Amino acid sequence: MNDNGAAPAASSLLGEEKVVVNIGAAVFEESLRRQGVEVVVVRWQPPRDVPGDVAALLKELL
Amino acid sequence: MSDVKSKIDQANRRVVEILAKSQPVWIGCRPALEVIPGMTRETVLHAGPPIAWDRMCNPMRKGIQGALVYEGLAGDLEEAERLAGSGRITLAPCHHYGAVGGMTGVTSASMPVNVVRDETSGTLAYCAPHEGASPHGFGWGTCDEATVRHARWIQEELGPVLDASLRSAGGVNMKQVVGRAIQMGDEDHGRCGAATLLLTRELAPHIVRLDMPKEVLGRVMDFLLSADIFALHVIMAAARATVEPAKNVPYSSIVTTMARNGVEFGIKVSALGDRWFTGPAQKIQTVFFSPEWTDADATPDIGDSSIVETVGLGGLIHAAAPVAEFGFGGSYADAVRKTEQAYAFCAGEHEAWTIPTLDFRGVPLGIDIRKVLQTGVAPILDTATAHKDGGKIGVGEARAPMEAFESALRAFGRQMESEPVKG
Repeated sequence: MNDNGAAPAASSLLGEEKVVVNIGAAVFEESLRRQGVEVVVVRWQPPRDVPGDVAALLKELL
Repeated sequence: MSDVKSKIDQANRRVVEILAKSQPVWIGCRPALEVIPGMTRETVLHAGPPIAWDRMCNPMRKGIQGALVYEGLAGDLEEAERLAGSGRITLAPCHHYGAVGGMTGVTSASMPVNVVRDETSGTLAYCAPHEGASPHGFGWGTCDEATVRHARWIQEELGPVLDASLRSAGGVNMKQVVGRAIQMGDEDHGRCGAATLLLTRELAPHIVRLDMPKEVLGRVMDFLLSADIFALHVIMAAARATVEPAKNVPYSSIVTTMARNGVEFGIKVSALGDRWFTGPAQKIQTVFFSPEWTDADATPDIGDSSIVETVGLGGLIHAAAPVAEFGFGGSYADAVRKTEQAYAFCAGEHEAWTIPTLDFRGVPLGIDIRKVLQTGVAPILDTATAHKDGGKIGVGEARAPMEAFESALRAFGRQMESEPVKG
């Protein structure tokens, strides 16, 4: 939003130099890099559903 | 840190050291009956954790039937099928005999096996030679006339020539071969071209000087130069010899075996000795050799070759073999990311095997079942794909199933509570 409460024109967004933060799926990161865009990568994936007893053991043993 | 956590970490460091200090040397290629302790004429070994005849996948059943005919125990494949199910033949995992086997792992009495000795511990291990570029092999689950002919050639020419040349060479140090091959772009599972060339270079001067018919020596050299992946089954025996002394270390949560039989995937964990913990064999992400084949034609993950991932190779080090990753449709970044994931679930790094593309960092070593479950990332197993009716139809990669690690952790937890210093 700009000072007047309106969305910035698409042309202004496209013209700016951007740094992208990519979280998770690597395919976006690689695609942007190939286009010369600077990318900050956050390695993340949804936590796996570990059974309760296994989670308790991990807490105790790791 | 609690006392038990500290003891586990200490034990795991010890296991990583045992794995890294191993000095496996390829010393021979002899008939299974002659060198594998407990082997009999009525025994056929197979890959993976134990499995009953009636639960085996089709390629494994066909490989066993073929081996029974090959050994003269059955007159034809139908008789072999009845015999295999009769209980009069011992069907057992290669791993229970100190051995490993590629794909179906089918190994019978008269087949030659590569013999590797770990000079650090004196442990011996065995693996039948890779069948080379031929699509025919009991290992691939074929049992036709061409399969028998090729197996006979391996028994009568390849095995004796390899054995004699190894004796002449005084053995080949596989730790050095693997270390160098990694630096030349092998991950030493799906891609073994450098290791095979290095082994061929070691043996060639001895092969050409053997007092055997020139035609025989020529055929063996032709085979070695055409079988890019020949070294894999020597590396598997080396890895099998390496893991044995790492078993039964009290408190250690490090994986000492990973193997698949096409139905189940199984692991062993150091502190838990030789118990198997299993989960379903996974679908392989396959690059098929021909568009005629699809996932519907493929057997799930099969073979003992994942013993090489257990010692830090194959799917754990794609960063060392970006060409292999590219072959699977991935990028260099994918290869590095997969190897970074492996570092996260391993307890240490190898002191002698290093990855050039990662600034010569040691390969990830010692898969810790706790960290696999904590990260939620299962080890990648590089592999070939067998057709459901037998035959090699592609190469690819599979992930180990989490169920095996979960049941191992439950048993590990019970052992920590009750009898942690067994072994």
